[in-house]
Formats: sequence, C-alpha cells, structure tokens
Amino acid sequence: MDVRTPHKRYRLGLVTQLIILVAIVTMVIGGILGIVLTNTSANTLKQDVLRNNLAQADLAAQFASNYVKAVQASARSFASRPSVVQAELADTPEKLQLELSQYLQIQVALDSISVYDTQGIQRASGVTNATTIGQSFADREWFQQAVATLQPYGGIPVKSRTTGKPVFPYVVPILDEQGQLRGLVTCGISLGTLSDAIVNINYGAGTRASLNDLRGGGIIIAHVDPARILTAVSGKNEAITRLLAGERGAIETRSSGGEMDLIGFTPVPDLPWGIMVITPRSTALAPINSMILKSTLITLISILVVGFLGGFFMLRITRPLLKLRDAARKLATGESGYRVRLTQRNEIGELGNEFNRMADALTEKELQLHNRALQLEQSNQELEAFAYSVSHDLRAPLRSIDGFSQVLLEDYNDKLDAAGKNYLQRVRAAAQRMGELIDDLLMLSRVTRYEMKQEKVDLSALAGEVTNELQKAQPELKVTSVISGSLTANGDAHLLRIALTNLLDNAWKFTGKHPDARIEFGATQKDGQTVYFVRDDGAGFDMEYADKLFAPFQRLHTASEFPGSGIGLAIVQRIVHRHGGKIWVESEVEKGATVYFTLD
Amino acid sequence: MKNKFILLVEDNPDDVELILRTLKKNSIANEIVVARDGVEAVDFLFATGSYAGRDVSNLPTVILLDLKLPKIDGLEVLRRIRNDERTKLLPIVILTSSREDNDMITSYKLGANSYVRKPVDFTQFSEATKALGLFWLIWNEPPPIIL
Repeated sequence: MDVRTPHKRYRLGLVTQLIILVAIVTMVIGGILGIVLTNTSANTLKQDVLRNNLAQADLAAQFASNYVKAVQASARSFASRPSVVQAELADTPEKLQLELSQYLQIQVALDSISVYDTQGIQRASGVTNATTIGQSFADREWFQQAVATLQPYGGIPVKSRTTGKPVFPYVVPILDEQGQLRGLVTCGISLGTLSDAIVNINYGAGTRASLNDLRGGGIIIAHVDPARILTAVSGKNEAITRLLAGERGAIETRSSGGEMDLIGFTPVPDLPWGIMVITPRSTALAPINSMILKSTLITLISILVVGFLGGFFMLRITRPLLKLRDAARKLATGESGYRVRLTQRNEIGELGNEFNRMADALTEKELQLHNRALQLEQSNQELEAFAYSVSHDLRAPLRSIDGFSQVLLEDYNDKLDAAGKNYLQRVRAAAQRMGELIDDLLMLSRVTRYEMKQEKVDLSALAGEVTNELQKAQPELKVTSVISGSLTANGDAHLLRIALTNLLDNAWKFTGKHPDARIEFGATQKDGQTVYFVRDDGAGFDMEYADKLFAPFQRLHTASEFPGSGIGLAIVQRIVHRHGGKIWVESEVEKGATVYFTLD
Repeated sequence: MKNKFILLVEDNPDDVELILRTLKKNSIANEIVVARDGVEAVDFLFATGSYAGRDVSNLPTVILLDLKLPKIDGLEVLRRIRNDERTKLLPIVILTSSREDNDMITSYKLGANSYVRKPVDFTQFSEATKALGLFWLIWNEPPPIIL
C-alpha cells in the first residue's frame, strides 16, 4: 500500500483564500463607507456653503443698500440747503464752489459733486481744478432721466468725466416753488470705495463677492479685480439670470470659466442692484478631498494590517489543520499507530485530542473487527465441518437401518407376520424421511454458506423458466401464470433461482386442489423500494400462524394434505436476508397467499 | 488373463455387507476385495505393508472408493493412485454419503471417473450398486494394461 499520498497542490490554499476574502471584504466595506461618507459630507458641506453664501449676500446687500441710501440722503440734504437752492434759483451756481469743495471733503463716499444748470452745463464742481466746468452733460442718462421725471435719480454707473473714476451718479433736481427745474446737483458715489467696502468683507477662504447693477443686462460695480468694475457681466450663469428676474437664492452652477461655483445671490433692497457671493466648488470641497485621500490611505493601511494579521492567524489555524490532515491520511493508509501532536490550548488543540481519541477508538474497533472476523471464520469452518458430518455420518446409520430392514423383509419373509412386516416398512419409511430432512437441512446450510456473486438478474425470465418446468412436471394442472415483464434485480442468479423455484413451487402446490388457478409474479413500489411478490389463489392459511411460516420444518398443513418438509420458505427467507431484503406473507384461508420480498 | 475383480474401499461394515449382498444377489460373482481404510487400499494396490509380495500387476477392474476413511482419506488415496504410473488409468468410482460441492469438484479434479452418492433408501442403494457393478464389470472397456 502506498503509505504516503503526495500533497495535493491546490490552486488556492486555504490561507490565500481567507486573506483574499478578508482583503476583499475590507476593501468593499471601506469603499462603500468612503463613498457614502464622502457623498454625505460633500452634500452637507455644499449645503452649508450655499446657505452661508446666501446669508453673506443678504448681509452685504443690506450693507450696500444702507450705505448708498445714507449717501443719497446726505446728498439730498445738501441739495436742499438754502444756500444751494438760493444759488440755483438765482442761476448763480458758481457761488457754490466753496460749499461743494467743503462737502466733498467730508463726504468720503463721494468722488465728486457738481451742480448743473437746466441745460446740463456743469457750472461748478467740488472737485479741485475740475476741467469739466462749462461742459455739457446733457447726453448723460442720469441727466435725461432727472429732467424727464424731476425726481432724484440713481443713474447707470459710469466713468466720471470729472474725475475719470467709476461712479454711481446720483442726481437731485432743484425745483422752484412752481415746480420748475432750476438746476441739478449730481454726486458721483465712488464705486472704488463701495467696491472696497463690499469686497473686503471676509467671506471665507476662496469666497468672493460681486455687486452688479442689473440694468441693461448687468454691469459690475464691485469686484475683487478693480479692472472689471464697469464692465458688462460676461457669460451669464443661472445666478445672474435669476438675479435679473429679481429672485433670491443659492445654487450650484457652471461659471463662464467652466468650473462649478456655489453661489448665494440676492437683490439689494431699494436699488436696481444684485449681489452674489461665490465659492468655487473645488475650494468648497477641498476638505472633503483631503478626507477622501486620508480615508483611502487608512483603508489601504487597514487592508495591509488585516492581511498580515489574518495571514498570521490563518497560518496558526491552518498549520495544525494540515497536521491533522496528514494524520488522517496516515490513518487511512493503515498507519493505525500514528497520533497527531498539537500543543495549542484551544479548540484546535481539543480537535487534535479528539482526533487521537478517535484514532484510538478506531484502532480498538479495528482489532475487535479483526477478532470478530477470526471468530466468524472459525464458526464458518465449524459449520462446514458440521454440515459435512451431517451429510456423511448421520446418513450412514440411516442407510444401515433401512438396508437391514429390507434384508429382514427379504431373507426372513416367511418368519414375519403381517404386523412385523408392517413395522419394518414403517422403520424404513421413517429412516427415509429422516434422510430427506437431513438433505433439506443441508440445502439450508448450503444456501447460507454459498459464496454470493452480484450481478443483474432478470427475475421475469427466471420466473418464466421455473413456471415452464413446473408445468412440464405437472401437465394435468391448469394454471394461469401472470409474470410482469422486465423485472430485474441485483443479486446472485443461482440463489434467486432457488428462491423463485421454492415460491412458485409452493404456489403450484397450494393451488393444486383448485380446478384452475392463477399464479402471479410481479412487483410494486413501496417507500421508493421495489417489492416483488408471488401471489396465488390457493388454499392460503390463517394469518394467526404467519410468524411460524419461515421457521424450518414448520408446516401449516398436514403432509397428507400437501406434501413437503416445510424447509422451502426457510430457504427463501435466508436467500432474501442474504440479499439484505425483507420477506413477509399475506393470506386468508381458501383465498390464496401472497409472499412479498425485497432485495436491497 | 486374470480374473476381473472389484476393490471396495469402505470402512463401514454395514455398507460393506449391504454392497456385497446386493452384488451377489445380482449375480455379479466376481471377486470383491475389501479394504477397510485408505492405508490398506494403498498397500493392496502397491503391494506394500501387509500386502507385501502381492503381484502388483494384478489390478482391480474398478475401485469403489469411499471418501471418509480412517488413516488416509479417500481423496488422498485417489491422489496417490493417479500419481503412480502403474495405476494412473485405473477406473475409480467415488461412492460416498457426501454431496458437498467441494468433494465432488476435488474428486473429479483428481481424476475420478464417476461420483455416486449413496442413497439412504436401500431400494435405491441396491439399484445404484447393481448398475455400477454391471456397468464397470461388463459394459465398460478397461484401459489396456501398459506395464
């Protein structure tokens, strides 16, 4: 026997499989967790930034509105000074030169303040050494609007002709008592100062504000980049569109530069202005990105650590398992003395102990089995010897009894009376009967000792042959034989023929007294097992005695009624038992009998 | 030409008596030599032991051989007969109570010419004995003597 089966090479060992499993699980969990966390945090962060930007925009808008309104109120108050009104009514605005300069000096929100006549000619200016005095401003939008409405008016931001700086012109018309226009006071609210005030608010890292006049498609009034002041709002995004429509809100939208921005926007109260507070998404989500980087790193490190630890523990677990495997292999190949040595003080150590205990038990069982086999062999030999002696020694005296009885009958015929001869005949009959009984016993013993062969046996064909023989032997009997076709079984053909012969012979015997008989050989299925049966409609028997039927020499009918020794069913039972099957009988007096049997 | 005779190897005196009686009754008058055990049978055939000096060439026409014998059993006797050039071809009928398959197979393998089972029924037993005697002594042509 091959003592050592070579180790099999597995494509993937247990350890590798487990490590890969752990790594995959860690990665999947880490990945899902990362994605969920990132998504959640990104969304939360975005919402936070949007809300914050809107709040900042609201604040800035309020501030801008208040700032401008304060300046405008101051300008209106200046325009209503009696000296200013007087000079205008007298059409001598040049006299206001000093007052204008003084006012401009204290009003830091203004770049310029000038007075104009009804024709739009600048008559005096607070700007020192203004070169524009005497020039006409009638082409200015603010002038035309003020002349048309006679109301104070904030014009579209322009570059001041007087100072060359960007301003938000505010014009206050001066009327006489009849409501006739007598002149105009126009101040240029400094967009540089305003822009500085708006832009310099700390909106947070990477966040900027933009203030726009919404008239005429939008003009930038306040911006981090001073060069962009007074330029048109370019590449209109959704925030601008909605501002132009007078809405307030916070959205994520694509800027003209192509990147995504988080924008809070709101109109400036009481002014045709709108303010936006803008954070590029990349800036807003920068913390998240660093978080992703960190968590990816942590996941990778975790996988490495888990992999190493896992591998270490797997090895600790699998090494003793491999030992156990080798031990099992050694046991299986006959090294019954081999024991495994596991020092672990845990379940695996216990497993090793149990394995050794099992091996001990196995060895013991093996020994028992060996002894049992020896005993069995011995008793078989004894049985053999017994059968031989029965066959030989028991028959010899019977032959003598029968033989010498006959000698007496022949040689002393004249000396014996009728009764004496009759007794001698009975002695002979008894001896012969005993001879038959011995033959039957031998038959039973031979069936028990016979060395079985397993093959596929055609029971239907066998039953047909036996039936033909029985019919040939008893041509006077009228029997209808019904044999189910193609019934096969795995078993010994010789023994099965003996069994079927006995069963069918019985059936013929016990239907012999009926004028016509029906004998059936077939099979049914019961609990997934094939149950064969031999059924007759003959004498039958009382089921009360059914249990006696299979004992040798047990008969339920007298020998004169039906001949036979009563060994047949005992032989059939042994054959069925040798095939691992069961046998039983159902019957009723004069209604026939059915013998059922299985063959496993 | 010597007289034809039968060698009956049988230890049971009852069987010997019944066989002899049957043969006589059926007018088979030839000489019948009886050996009571295997040793005696072998001694007789090969002129050894108590049969020392007997003419070895004077062989029986047929041997009726029981299997269960004291000292040397029937199968061993059969083996020795078949192993000796002088007796190799002798017709041998196994006449026994045994119907064991093993006995039959071994007997035929060792070169028995016939195997007859002694029936219990004396009537049948007589028939068989008579038939045997008639067949082997009268009908059967014995092998030519080689030596």
